[in-house]
Amino acid sequence: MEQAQSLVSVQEVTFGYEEEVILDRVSLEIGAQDFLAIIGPNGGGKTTLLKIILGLLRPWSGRVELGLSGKEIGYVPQFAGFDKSFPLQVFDVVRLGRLGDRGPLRRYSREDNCRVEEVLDRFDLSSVARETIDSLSGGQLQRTLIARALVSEPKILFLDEPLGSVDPESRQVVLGTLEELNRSIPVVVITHDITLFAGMIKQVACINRELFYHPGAEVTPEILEKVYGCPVELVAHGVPHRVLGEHQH
Amino acid sequence: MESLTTLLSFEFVRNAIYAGLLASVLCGVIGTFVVVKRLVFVSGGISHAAFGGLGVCYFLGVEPLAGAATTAVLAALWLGSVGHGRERSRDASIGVLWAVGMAVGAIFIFKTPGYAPNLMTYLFGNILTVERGDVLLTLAFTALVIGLLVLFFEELVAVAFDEEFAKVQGVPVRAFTTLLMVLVALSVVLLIQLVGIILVIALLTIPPVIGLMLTRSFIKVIFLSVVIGAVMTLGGLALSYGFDLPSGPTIVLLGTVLLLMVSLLRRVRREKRLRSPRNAT
Repeated sequence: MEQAQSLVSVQEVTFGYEEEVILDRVSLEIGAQDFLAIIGPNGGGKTTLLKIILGLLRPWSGRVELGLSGKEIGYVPQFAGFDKSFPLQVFDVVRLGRLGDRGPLRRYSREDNCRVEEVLDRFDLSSVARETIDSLSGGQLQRTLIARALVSEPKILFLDEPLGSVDPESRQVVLGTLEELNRSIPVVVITHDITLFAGMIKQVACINRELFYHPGAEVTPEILEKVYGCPVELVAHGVPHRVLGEHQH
Repeated sequence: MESLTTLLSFEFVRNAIYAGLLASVLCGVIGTFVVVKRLVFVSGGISHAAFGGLGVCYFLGVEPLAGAATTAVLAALWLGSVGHGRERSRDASIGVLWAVGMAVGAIFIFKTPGYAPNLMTYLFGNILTVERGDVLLTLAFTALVIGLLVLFFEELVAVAFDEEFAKVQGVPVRAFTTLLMVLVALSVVLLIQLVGIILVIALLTIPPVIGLMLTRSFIKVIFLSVVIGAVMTLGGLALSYGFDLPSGPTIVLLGTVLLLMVSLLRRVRREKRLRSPRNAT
């Protein structure tokens, strides 16, 4: 049933760098109401999979179906992929999220600017809107990146370690926003600590070269406890992988 | 005043002034992208590679500028395609290109029969030898650059700032980075006439670096760079005339003095702000 309305479909994707295989025939469906956590050991291929879904990397084989245009995809990268001394103000950075694939000479509209102000307000960034990004704290920068991803009102949101360098206060703002967003759009989050998202996560995909998918119903607090040990488990034993305990069907 | 009018009555002086002003615009626009996108070393590689094409064309009796432009564009396209995300191979490629370009150029110019062109002019430039045709060519190219900037300003900024995010948004990142590299290559070739292969980097970097010290808005950095570039080229021209100095190095050194002054001023201002009783939170 979930398959029928999946928004993203990853089919048998294999990818690697140089000779080394990072992802081995990985398949994944992301449905319209999903809150999917992607977990796994470092170097297991979490970010790589995300970049393939986003079209930033081309898989060796397999297919990715993502029926959305650029502006409909919200993306919050793990590391700011930019130079923090770049001469742009917070307002301008966030507004980049509304760029999309516009034609030549099309400037930002008043509506674009309004949306930017709204989202800045929501993330408590209005006071630094005219500051340059090099003057932001870690939490402010993270909120700026999330604001940039949300300002286009995306139809799906991907976040790579969104709570990595975030102070407790920003963390609450971010979590609250994700919970609210998930009522209308799917959220995909890469994290090394799914306990942070406890109660919100509906599906878990565990990646270590191969992908192990755990559909929603099983993710109870007790299971989350166990999943927290996932990277260790995987590194220690590899397959068969028993992070979520025995499946009871 | 009298002498200034006399001076301006010479066509080569007028051409030099036009060339200097146009160069300022090119440097301001292209240089700002070069600096923020960290293409300084790439630009150096391109300009030295261009010397190879220039030498070959000299030897063959073809327009050297055409050879320089072709080589520069090819070099830019090659560097643009080398190892995305592989900094080391890209870094090394630039170094190889840099040296090979100079070696090829030097050998072909050395082997050119008859009148041996003055190597120094190519290496260090001479704004006073700029001809009317050069000025018109630079004018056309500057107009093209400004046109593209106006058309694609937001895309260019987005790509310069964060290629990955721009790509997710659906911006044709590859096309824009290639465009940027080609524009850098052609700018470098046109600027070679003014300040030469070795000093062209200064004209592309010093104005934006000063601009970045003074403002933190992208568009203002571009405008400031144009103004600073004009001060450099015209001021350098005047000083080189007044003190009988070679124009290229004078332009560069004037820029350096400006750079030092601005950074010193900034430091003084910052210290003053730190000492004044807490106005910062």
